[in-house]
Amino acid sequence: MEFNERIYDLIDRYLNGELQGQELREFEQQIESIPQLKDEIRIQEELLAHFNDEPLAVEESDVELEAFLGSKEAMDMQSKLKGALSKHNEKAKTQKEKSSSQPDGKVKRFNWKPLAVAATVLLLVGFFYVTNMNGGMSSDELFAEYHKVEPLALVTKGSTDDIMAEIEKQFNAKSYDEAAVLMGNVLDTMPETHNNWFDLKLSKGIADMEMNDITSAQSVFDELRKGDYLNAPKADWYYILSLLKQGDGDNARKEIEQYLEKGGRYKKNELEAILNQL
Amino acid sequence: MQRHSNSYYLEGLKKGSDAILLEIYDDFLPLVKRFVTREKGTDSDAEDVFNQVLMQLYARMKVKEFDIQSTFEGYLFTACKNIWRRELNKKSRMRVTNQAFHEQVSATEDGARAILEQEKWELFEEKFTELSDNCKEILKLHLDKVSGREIMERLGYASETTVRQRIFKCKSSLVKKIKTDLRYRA
Repeated sequence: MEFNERIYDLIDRYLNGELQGQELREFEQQIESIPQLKDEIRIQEELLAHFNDEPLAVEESDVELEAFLGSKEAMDMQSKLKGALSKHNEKAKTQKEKSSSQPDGKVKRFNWKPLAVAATVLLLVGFFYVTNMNGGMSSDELFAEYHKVEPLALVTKGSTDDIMAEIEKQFNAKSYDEAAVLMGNVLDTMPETHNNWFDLKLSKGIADMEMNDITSAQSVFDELRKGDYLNAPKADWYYILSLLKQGDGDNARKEIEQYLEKGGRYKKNELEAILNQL
Repeated sequence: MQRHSNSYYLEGLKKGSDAILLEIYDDFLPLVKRFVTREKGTDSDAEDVFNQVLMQLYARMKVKEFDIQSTFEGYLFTACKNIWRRELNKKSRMRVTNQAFHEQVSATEDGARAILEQEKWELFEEKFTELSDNCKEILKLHLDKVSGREIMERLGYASETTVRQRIFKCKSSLVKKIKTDLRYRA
């Protein structure tokens, strides 16, 4: 049975509790007398619950599943899971104790002093070399100088709220691996027109870049900067940063020149400064 | 973070390999703990949820030869989210009735129902992703109870009537997709 727009409208109002008096009574009578209408309302009710993150109630059960869950095989697995959990907790506890058992109660720090001396010497040598070559900074120094991860702030509305909040939290806490996995999952089904799509995608690229997966990061930035998006210049900026991180000063220079030539304004001052120092 | 392929974890779980089970806890329990504790739960709630989800997955693989469609991590995270929501719902029902909550169903029946609920959830998600991007966007707003007028303004439709027509078209297509799928038990 096919329903028309008017019935759908009535179903909506019914489910939202907007039908009253005579109209409500008539509709309830219809529901009782037309089984298909009853089914239709049930699915729509479930859809509403689904998208509002409410549990989908299931009245019936499944004999086969029940039998399995009560079987010895399932019981054995249950105790295996408990065993794995306590081993995991044991391990986590030992790790925690280890890190707090240092004399000063802090995590043991890496002794960086000898390395710092060596690095300073290297830096001086490098600086001498670079300044003598072209009077500027090396690409990765420029990257370190200009790259700053801005906190992610997503629009949270609707059924993906929890996961968006989790992504924001992980990303802002610099847990890029977790953030990247969650973002990948969300992006799989999110339409490009979604409010958060561009920011999420861009942040996925930034997370990749932070984890040194420059290839993935660049393919994200490249897709975004070539698309017809309002914020595409942001992707240009990160694409250039990723080249600097890679130590590819030549291509970074080319990209900046092209960007400025076509009149790009986002981070214009920064890019001009970088260009001077490359 | 997922360090191995889906099949590595799934096979490990199916065979009951102690080493891989431990890796599953090490790799994914922290993420679930963070989620559950943020959603009014405790660490031990999170452990319980996590165990339930692994048991579910095990039963689904054994009884239904089920294979997951997303990443293993993505599956665990959404399934844990669903189970936790279910637990919260049980707790609030308990408060409403204002008496000790007498579970009418046995533990195995409740477990089986939880699996069916998860299957239904996956079916709805799957059918929703089959819609066009435009349908997804307008339906999401509509099901989030955003008014027709606001949808019109946000998505740049000419009139509320057009919005209503579009919602009708998208929703009836979604309902049809769900109804005609054999997995949907009407």
